[in-house]
Amino acid sequence: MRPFVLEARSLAPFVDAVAKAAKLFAPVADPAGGTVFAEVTSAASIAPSAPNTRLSVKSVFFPQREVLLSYKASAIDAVPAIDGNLVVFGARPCDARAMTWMDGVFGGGGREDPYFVERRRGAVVVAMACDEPCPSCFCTSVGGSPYGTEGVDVLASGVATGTTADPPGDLLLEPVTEKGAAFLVQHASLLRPATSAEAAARAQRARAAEARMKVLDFSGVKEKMDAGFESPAWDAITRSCLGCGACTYVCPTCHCFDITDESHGDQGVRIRTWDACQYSLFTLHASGHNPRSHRRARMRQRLMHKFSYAPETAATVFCSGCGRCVRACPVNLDIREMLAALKDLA
Amino acid sequence: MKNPYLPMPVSIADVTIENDARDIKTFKLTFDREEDLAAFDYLPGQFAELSLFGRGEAPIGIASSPTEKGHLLFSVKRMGVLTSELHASAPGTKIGVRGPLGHPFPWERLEGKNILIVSGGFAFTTLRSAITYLLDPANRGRFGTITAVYGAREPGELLYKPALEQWEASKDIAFTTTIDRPKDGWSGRVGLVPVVVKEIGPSADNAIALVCGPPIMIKFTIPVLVELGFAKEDIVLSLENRMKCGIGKCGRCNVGSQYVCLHGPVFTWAQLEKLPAEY
Repeated sequence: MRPFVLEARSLAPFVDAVAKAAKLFAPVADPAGGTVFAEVTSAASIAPSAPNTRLSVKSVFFPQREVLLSYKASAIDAVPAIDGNLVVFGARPCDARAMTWMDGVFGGGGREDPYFVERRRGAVVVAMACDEPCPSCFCTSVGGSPYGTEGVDVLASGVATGTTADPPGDLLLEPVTEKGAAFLVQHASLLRPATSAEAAARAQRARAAEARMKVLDFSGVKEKMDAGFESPAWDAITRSCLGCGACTYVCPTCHCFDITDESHGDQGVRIRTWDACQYSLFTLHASGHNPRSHRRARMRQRLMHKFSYAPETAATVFCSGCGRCVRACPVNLDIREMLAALKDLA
Repeated sequence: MKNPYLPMPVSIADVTIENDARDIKTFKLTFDREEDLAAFDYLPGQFAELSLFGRGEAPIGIASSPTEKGHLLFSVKRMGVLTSELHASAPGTKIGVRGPLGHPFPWERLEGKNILIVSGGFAFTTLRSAITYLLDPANRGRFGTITAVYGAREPGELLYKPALEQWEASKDIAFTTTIDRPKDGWSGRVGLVPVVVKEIGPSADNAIALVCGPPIMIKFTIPVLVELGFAKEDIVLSLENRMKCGIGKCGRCNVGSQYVCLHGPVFTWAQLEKLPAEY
């Protein structure tokens, strides 16, 4: 199927139409700063996500706080129905790719997590290509691309260079999957077919975007980590870490969570909330024993889960190079530098 | 799609105080729905999440054997909010169970083997399940000799005392109970578990060892078993780690590439030797 063009003047009616047919999630301004994904009903509330949303798209499929069930006295009162009829508009390719790995986590292991899986099954992901990757991004160093299509149903990119323009100009919409093609057909009345020139210019823009990014070599880092599990280098790279866990909250692949009950009288809800391996309470046994009692062990867990354990269990690193942990760290710890330091282990 | 986070409703049918400190109780649970009883298909070595709405959930090893029909047993030490509430619960109280979870002891591999069971302290619960299963008349013939050593700090900390007496008297199992230090009124064996195992010296020939106990007991038992000739693949242990989901997603019990809840809690020493000691 040929790509379509969503002209800037059609954006508002397009968003209206999409929001009428499904729950539409797009970047909106967050009071805490930057943008986050939230449900929108009109184009006016969509905020430009340059260079990227502060929290990743995981918040759509795996909300920071989610009710698993509600109870009254000692019985289940209700289990929330999951509405999988949703469209994500404006996620970056790094986020879309990371969600395919989360599909393995939440859908695998012989037990499906219905909350995550139901949302993913129905969702149409319209990703926004990056023409201006930011300096902390490194998707091309971990197998991704600013125009990547893994986990993407429709890839949007600016017809004119600079997709980060505010308001966005005309967008080229390319179907990647059948689900994406069906979505474009559904809303074709608000789109026009792309001209050959518009479609052809896209390859040029993708090359230019990739060329802006420095490619780092992380090969061999798994072997170095495995062999250097007890290396003092872990202390060195962790020394300035505050243990705040911000890196894990902004990460699109960090998926650890807690389950707790919130009661009011004899009724309440059992919720799950994001949790993090960076906290000592995360692994504390009832006996008082803690298998990861030191910060170096917790940082090692974070890096090794992404760059050593995930390659064993999922045949990929669990890092999409979105650079959010680099931007969020209050003491300027940079995962790229930490990996480089570990690679230099003798 | 079956929702793995929803506990099945069960009722506390009976409560047994297990130790002199009165901080370990065994809860006999019966299913409120017939279909849940039928669906709860488990083998010794597995665990389940006990759920008290308003207090949360805790992963606990299943102490009953599937040969004991119609109910489940869980021995629970009073430690925190949930277990304290559970200890304060009388028969008739309605709670929840989510499971069975994790992998059981390797029953297919155990068939036709001589079995050595080594346990210390409170970790004996899933081995109570294993011994009850092994000694069931329908199962006993499928296994070779059964030797067991079970130790506690002192007599008052030994669990399942009526069963211990039966097993000590049984010809189907060579069962030894021991306590760490001499105590007035105790006429039985005295000695730390690894020492007693060494003294008894069970043959490693065609044998597999099931070992559950505190880290310090494990640490000193493994060299004894290796010295007796047990291969690392034939030393089977059960790990504990903090858990929440119990299905390999929440990340809490992750050790290297493995999740204790999903890939374990039963691992061989050969497997554990290759993993980081983060448990």
